[in-house]
Amino acid sequence: MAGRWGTGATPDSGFGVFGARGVEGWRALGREMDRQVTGIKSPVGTRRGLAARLRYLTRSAAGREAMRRAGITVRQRTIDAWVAGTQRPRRANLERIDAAYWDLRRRNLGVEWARRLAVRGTRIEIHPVDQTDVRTGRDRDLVVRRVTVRGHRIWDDIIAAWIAGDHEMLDIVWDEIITDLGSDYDSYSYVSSVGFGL
Amino acid sequence: MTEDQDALFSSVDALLRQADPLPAPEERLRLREAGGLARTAVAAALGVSAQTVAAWESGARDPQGERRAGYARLLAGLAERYPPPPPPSSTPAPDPEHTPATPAAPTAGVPEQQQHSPAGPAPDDRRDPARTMAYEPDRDRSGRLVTGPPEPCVLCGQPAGHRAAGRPQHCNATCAPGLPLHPAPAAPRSPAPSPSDARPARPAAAREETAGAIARNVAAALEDNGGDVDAALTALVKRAIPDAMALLNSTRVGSTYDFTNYLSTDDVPILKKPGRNDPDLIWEGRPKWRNTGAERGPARTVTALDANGAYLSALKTHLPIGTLRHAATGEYDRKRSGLYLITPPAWEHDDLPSPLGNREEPGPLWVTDPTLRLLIRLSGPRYGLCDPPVIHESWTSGSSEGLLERFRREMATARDAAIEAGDTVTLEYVKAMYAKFVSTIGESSANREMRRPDWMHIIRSQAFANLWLKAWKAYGAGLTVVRVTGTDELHLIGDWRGVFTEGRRLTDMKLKDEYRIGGR
Repeated sequence: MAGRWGTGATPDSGFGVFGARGVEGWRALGREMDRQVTGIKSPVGTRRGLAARLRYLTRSAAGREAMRRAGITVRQRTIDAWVAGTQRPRRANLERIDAAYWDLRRRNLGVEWARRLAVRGTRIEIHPVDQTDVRTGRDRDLVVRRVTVRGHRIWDDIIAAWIAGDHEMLDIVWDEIITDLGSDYDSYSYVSSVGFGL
Repeated sequence: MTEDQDALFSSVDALLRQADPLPAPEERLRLREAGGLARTAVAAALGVSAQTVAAWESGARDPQGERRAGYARLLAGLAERYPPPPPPSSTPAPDPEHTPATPAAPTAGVPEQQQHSPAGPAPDDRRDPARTMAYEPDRDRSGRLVTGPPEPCVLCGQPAGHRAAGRPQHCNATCAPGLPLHPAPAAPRSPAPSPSDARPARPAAAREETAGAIARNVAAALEDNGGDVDAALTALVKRAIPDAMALLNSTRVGSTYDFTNYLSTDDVPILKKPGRNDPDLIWEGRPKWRNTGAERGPARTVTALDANGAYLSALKTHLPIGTLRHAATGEYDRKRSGLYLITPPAWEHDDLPSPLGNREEPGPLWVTDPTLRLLIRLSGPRYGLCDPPVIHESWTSGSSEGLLERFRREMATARDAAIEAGDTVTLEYVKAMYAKFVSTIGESSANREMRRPDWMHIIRSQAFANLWLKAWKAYGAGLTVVRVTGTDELHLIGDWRGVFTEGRRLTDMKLKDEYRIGGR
């Protein structure tokens, strides 16, 4: 992470010492992507929500793989009974089914987003940290910045890191994005939020 | 004519122009507004401040000297395009004989060699200000208009022989049907650019990018579908959201304020939806009101009216430009807009709907800026209908009423032209654009280019406030308001034609239905 907000090693250094409020850029980036995940709206506890999730998960090898990753270790016969509606999963398995569904959904959306963004790119609107509580003299002159990010190289990294929950990787990519902003790029290592279309 | 004489004459002409009579102040204002020119744009072109232009328009001051000549020319050009409305108003139409465009002598700003140029179709060297303000048609070296085989005009889609900036376009954007495809014999010669022409270039150039995007899209869709109107319309409606966003982005070029496209609902808790399908906390004041007294009364005929393009008109509203900031005070700042937690005043009028719609829960509620503005207005001395609302908290940002104005005007112009021409494709396309724009700029997965739920609420509330004011207008004219519902429905008893014009334009009302009530 770029670090001109201070290292935080001593009490008078680090982000927020003078009252600025914000989050790390990579966190805002991840949040914005989380926000755009769409999928089945019915909760997994409902008959409809469960049936839809099972349909999604049992349609492909990737779905079975996702269930395995989520820790569902039941036999195929049990899964078939769930799908047929003759048997209801236990509470623990319901949670795993939900986790497996969202895991697979994010992966599939990620593939689609990477395909689109590599060519078309997207314009990321970066809202600077909230400095309302920073006293005059200690505040920075920060404005909303916009930067267009496109290309396979960067988006493949962003999406892979987002799916895997790899914070270090997302942080590296965020640094890469903000270096395009020019000399005061470091001020945007922390932001209040970012916005973009996927 | 010697050089000396020539110079003498042109300086006398310049003096003459400075002595030209100007239209009355109200007319000056009307002309500028009809032309859709901002006061600041006029001020920049003439090298004065916007306050000065305002003083000219109020009649407090009159321009002098060079500026008077420039201003007179602007007004004459606008008067030519936007003649005064037919009912004889107090201000006489500027007489073309006395407008400064008429003098046959060359203009002072034109260099000598231009004035003596043997080329050019006629000695008529007058410069039409209207032509210098907008799309200058392409000309060849001798000053003749460039013509070519008729191709669809980029503005209206009708065949056009002339070219502007290399593209087929009707001369001076006058997309009137049946325009001759050859240059008119009295075509004015291209004037040499003078500094006063060059200055307003910024808004004009910015506008050129956007003008006609709607017509272009429609023409392209019709061509792609081989003239099949239904198929073209389906295709257009499908891409209405990205097209609207593209149009919005193109109208932002060169604008004063740069608004943010995204608002983080994590930062503004009241805009956060408690659940996936649950609404947030904002009360938009949607009316759903019926006049029970009138329904119980004697048998009478009710006319159901519809406001035309209610959401399109509502795009003109005070919108917050940037990030909303919280304030725990009860101050109201007219220059800001956003969301307010208020305790609404009591509403004790049985024959008029509450401006808050049919709110049933008592106590404080979150409203948007248009609703609050309406309440404050109604509590003022002019209306005196209720007590002022009490503001407790707010989430606001500096605001502007002009953020979507060019976007709105672009669609309104296309809509008016489509109604005039009976062009249902453009009409439906424009409708899909603004309706979908309003419904998807919140948190919709159908439009990822923008996330401003605050704007969505504000625009809707503005539509409801506009409808309330229409009901008030009818009420003030002695009509009985029977029902006010949704965005655009107004049911009245009485001679509504004395209050509203029937028609399909944005300022008109559409007659929907007539039915009988009461008498039971």
